[in-house]
Amino acid sequence: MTHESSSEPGLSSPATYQISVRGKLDQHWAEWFNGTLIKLEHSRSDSPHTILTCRVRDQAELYGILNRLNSLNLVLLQVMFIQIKGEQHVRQVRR
Amino acid sequence: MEKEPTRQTVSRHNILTTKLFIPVASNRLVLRPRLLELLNQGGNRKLILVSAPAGFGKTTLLSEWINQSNDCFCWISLDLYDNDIERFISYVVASLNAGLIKNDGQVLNLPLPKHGDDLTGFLIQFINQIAATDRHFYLVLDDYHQIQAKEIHDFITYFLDNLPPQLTLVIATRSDPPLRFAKLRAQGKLCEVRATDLQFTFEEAANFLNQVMGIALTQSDITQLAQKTEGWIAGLQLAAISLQKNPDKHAFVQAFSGDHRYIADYLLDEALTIQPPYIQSFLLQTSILEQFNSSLCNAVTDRNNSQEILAELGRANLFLVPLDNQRNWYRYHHLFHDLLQQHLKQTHFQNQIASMHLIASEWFKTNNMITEAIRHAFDSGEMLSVARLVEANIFTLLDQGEIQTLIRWMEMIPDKVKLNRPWLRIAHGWVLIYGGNLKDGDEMLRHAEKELCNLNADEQAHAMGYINAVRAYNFWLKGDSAIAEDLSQKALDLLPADDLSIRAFASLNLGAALVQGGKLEDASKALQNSIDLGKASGNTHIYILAAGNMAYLFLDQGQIRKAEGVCKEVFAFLDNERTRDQFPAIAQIYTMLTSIFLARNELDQALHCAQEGLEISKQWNQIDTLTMSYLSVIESLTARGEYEEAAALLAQVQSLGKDISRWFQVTIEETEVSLYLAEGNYAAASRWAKESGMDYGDDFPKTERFIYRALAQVLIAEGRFSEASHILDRLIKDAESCGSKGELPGLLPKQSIVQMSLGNQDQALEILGRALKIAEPEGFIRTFTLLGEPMEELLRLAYQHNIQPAFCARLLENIQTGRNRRQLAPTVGQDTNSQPGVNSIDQLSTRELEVLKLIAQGYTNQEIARELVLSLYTVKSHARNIFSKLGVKNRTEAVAKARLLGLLAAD
Repeated sequence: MTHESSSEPGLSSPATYQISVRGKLDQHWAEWFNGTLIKLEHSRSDSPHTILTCRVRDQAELYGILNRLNSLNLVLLQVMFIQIKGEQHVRQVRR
Repeated sequence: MEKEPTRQTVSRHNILTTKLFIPVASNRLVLRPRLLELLNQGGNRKLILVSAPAGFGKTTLLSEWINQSNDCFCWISLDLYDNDIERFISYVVASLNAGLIKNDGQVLNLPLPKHGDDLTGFLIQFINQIAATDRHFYLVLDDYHQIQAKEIHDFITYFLDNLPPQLTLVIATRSDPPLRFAKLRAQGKLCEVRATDLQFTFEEAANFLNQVMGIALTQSDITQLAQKTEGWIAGLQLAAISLQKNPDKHAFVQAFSGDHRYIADYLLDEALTIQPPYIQSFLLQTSILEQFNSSLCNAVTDRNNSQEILAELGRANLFLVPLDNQRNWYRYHHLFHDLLQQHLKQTHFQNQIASMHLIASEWFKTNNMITEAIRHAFDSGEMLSVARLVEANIFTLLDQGEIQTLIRWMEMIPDKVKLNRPWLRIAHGWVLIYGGNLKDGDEMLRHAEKELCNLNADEQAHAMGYINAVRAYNFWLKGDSAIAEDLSQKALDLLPADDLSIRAFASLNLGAALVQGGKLEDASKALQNSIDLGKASGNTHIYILAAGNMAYLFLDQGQIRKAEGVCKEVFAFLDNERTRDQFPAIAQIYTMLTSIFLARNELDQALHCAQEGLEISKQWNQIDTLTMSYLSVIESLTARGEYEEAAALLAQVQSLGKDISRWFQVTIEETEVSLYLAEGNYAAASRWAKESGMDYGDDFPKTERFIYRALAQVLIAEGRFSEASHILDRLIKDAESCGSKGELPGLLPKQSIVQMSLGNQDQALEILGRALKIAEPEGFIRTFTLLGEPMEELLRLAYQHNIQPAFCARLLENIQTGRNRRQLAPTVGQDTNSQPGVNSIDQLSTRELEVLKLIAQGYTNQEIARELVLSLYTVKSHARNIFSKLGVKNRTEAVAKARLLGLLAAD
């Protein structure tokens, strides 16, 4: 079941998430995310962290990513839902 | 280290022994008494949960704890491939058995659930058997975060809710599993060790860096490192590896503290750059492997000194984890493995990595580890290699019994690779049929047939032969022996003379179909052919199955000696080859041997043999073999007068099979009736006969004859001799006409007794004479002796009439010994010198005396359990002890013996 019309994602609908973790994660980790990663950026604050923008097919894929982050001992700071139809919105984020 | 389960006990049925190996506690580690104390207190809890991210020393802590403990521990290292409930349960049972055998020889004894079974029945038995063990032990599930399957979480939840006090579960995981902790926590039944407990304190960090790793660091540097890593042990270890070789230690600490990169990345980079280039590339290249030995490393890294490098890695603390006592197999610490793989991807091209996987696949193929070869072929992305491996090794893959995995792999191979590969389709169809999906399997074979035109003429015939052989097997399973026979014959006509394995399989099917169809002579030829081909081709599995069928055929024809010869040959062959345990089909041979021993009235050997067979078939879990093995044990127990045990097992076998064929049902019923009659429960036997709705005048087919044999027994017991005579007469004629002469030694003595009871003495003696003549050369004893007093009289009469007098005397002697043995004789198998007598009284404990008194008053085990507030299993174990101490076999004898010895005088 998809929730394309709603403003929130469903269990099996694609969606884009921003995930923040503590520390600077090198660009080469991008591949680790099985092609879900759209963007990897570093914050410029005093306690540096990495923001991963990921597009997932469904919730199972999102939890998979969180599990993988756990397996790398990364400290999770925030998980935020961005939008269901990702592309144009990501451009907004970039601006 | 002594806590490794022995290889022998767990090697059955593909259990990877390395998974049950308790990791060795390194002698170079920081002692952590505060945590050991915490764990020791957890012993009276239900669950110890060790939950922390990778690299916090969970496994190390547990192995250190186990090392200094006297308790009994069972261990499983879980991985991604264990998300299958049947596989998971088989590991749990294997691990418990391995741990228990090591410690006090108790073994769980229960059939593993089959795919799709309801697990409740299994769980109840499983929990009851644990409750019957008499010591406390731990089951450690390491890396539980690998488990995603809901059925496994449900299993553990149910298990925790019903956990007997004997067992404490230990779960080590990177993330909290979805189990109900709140309840356990509220009950005070949960002991938790979390990251805050595990992280190194300042003192532990100082001890680790300066003492264990031998780095002289200042107080302030240690503080900075401990702060930056937050006590994360793997991080400190990575830092220490760099520091050991770094001349300016302070500078390293400063640079690390000021860096904001992902810590693990930073530390691995540092630790790697400080290694010589050959170590660096070795680590990266071998990171494609889940487990490795030096030979495999040599192949993947294209070196010849991997043995030395592995030793070097061990000395340098480079996260190498040994997986066995001999230090043959290793893996990397999980997090280190992940990081290395990531670096590999960064530094190597995709095609370089793919070709490394192909080399690994090749190595596994050469070393006959086909499953691993296929996994690496999948990782290389070379689906063609996968397809070729599956095609070429279908026999091996099917023998190893992981049918579900095979089916999944078949689905993972893309359609375009499958296209025009009839051999792959044949393999696919075969796998489906083995897995019980006869319809889809047949469809796949048809698909293969359509694609045969892509092959050249010779190969077409070859492939068509395969298709017919597998189809024949399918029809035999369905009980259609005529078509199975026809297809097997066609297969043999088409198959090339030099493909011995498949010819062995086709001949086996032909033989089995001919046995089913009652064509015994041709069946014998086909089976002999299969035996020869199976041996010649090295396909031991097929050889054993064919030999089992052959032994059955000989028994059916009454040729005990030849049947025994076939069985003995199998054992001799296997001792030359590899161990028996690798071939679960051997259980069928044990079943045949049990029948032989029973026929000769050698009851100790029969039981021993039957139990051995049952244990193996429980591991294999192939339903037909399992049923036959159960029946062997039940028959042996019945023959020995151990009726209660026999009845308990009978209940188990009756609950086993839902999709079992009619032939087995009939056999089970006959065994049931024999048990009733042996224990003198004539009412139950009569009830059974009434309910079955059978009549002695029925017209019955050959396949039903066992059940009519049982009916004849009941009629005799009821004194309905003329009806019994009628039915026995028909059974005897049938057996003679179809060549199943093996039934005559069982039928004729009964008929002679019936004739005697009808007053036809001459006829009785004539029939007995025939029976004796057939029985003597092959050594059938039990079919006479089990008939007791009436047979005794008849044999005396035969002796007086000079009919086979020597054999008559021998049989009479046997009946007399049997009677002596039942009367107050020591339990068979015990030392015969230790005659039970008055001196054994004081061996009975107070509790055992209590139980004995209640037994004498006619209480059931269940009632005794309630009365004395004990578990049913404890009562049963007391009862067993009482029987063994008194040297008796059952409750009735125990009471008689106890009266004789004056143990019950006070009441």
